[in-house]
Amino acid sequence: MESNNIKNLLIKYEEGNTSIEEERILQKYFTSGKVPAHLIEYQSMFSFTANAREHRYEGKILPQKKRKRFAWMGIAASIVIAMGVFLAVNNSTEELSHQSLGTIEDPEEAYLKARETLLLVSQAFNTGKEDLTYVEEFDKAKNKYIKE
Amino acid sequence: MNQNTFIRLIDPVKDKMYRLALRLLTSREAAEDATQEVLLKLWSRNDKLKHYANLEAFAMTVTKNHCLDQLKLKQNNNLKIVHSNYDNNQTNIQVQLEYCDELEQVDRILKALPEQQQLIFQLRDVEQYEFGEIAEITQMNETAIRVTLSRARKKIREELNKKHSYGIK
Repeated sequence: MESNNIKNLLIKYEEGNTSIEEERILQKYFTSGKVPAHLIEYQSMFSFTANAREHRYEGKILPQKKRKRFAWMGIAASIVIAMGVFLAVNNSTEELSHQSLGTIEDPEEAYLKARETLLLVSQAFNTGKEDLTYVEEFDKAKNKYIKE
Repeated sequence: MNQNTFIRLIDPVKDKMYRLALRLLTSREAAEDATQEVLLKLWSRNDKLKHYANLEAFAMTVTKNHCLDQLKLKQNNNLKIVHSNYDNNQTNIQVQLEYCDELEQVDRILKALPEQQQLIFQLRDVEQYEFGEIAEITQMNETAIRVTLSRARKKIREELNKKHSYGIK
């Protein structure tokens, strides 16, 4: 009698026409006690759904603390950076205004000073250029063998 | 709605959300991330939550949509190989051993079903929602839900049957 009832319920079940109550009856039947060999697939199905129902969400609902801490760190970091930039800018402007740049007022003296400086620079350039005479040797050697 | 009210209301639903995500997505990690994101999403709209008559159904709908979006993203990023047209009976021994377990077999069969069938099967057979509630969550009509559910149940049973009688018949 019971097996007949189960059979009818299974037909309804496969058509999607069983109620939750009837499905509970099926579930109970297939997850407790022995099941005839030809209905073994249903046992797998019903024990699967019973098992799947047991999974639990382990995480937190709202990770509030973590978020807040990071937010504060962000604010603190941005304040530090802003202060750093502010102080650096302040410092450099102060230095510029207080430093003597060595400006010469008298044009004659300025001319002489500039000449002296430029001469010094060009001399320094010439000493650098002396070393380049060796390169000419390479050129000579190259021209011997390679004619353009 | 303050935080405590929110937590009290969402607490009975969170496991169901997680299990739905677990059904649709591939791994526990992905499911946990998805649940977390949906919870935050809901919390960020907490001022509007009281307008929803059925918070549970709404939370489940948001979870469903979020997971389907995730799947779409993944499908865009990766090339997916679907074994729907043929059965590969020559899986190696390692894999066969892994799936020896009955429950994992059902899980594998389920994973091969269309998303819609997985979703309905999860909501009805695992979470035991009434058809009316499923209709609210999925925005489908009840007849369509019954048809989808019937297909899923039949397909799972047939596949299991095939597996059991494999090598016998």
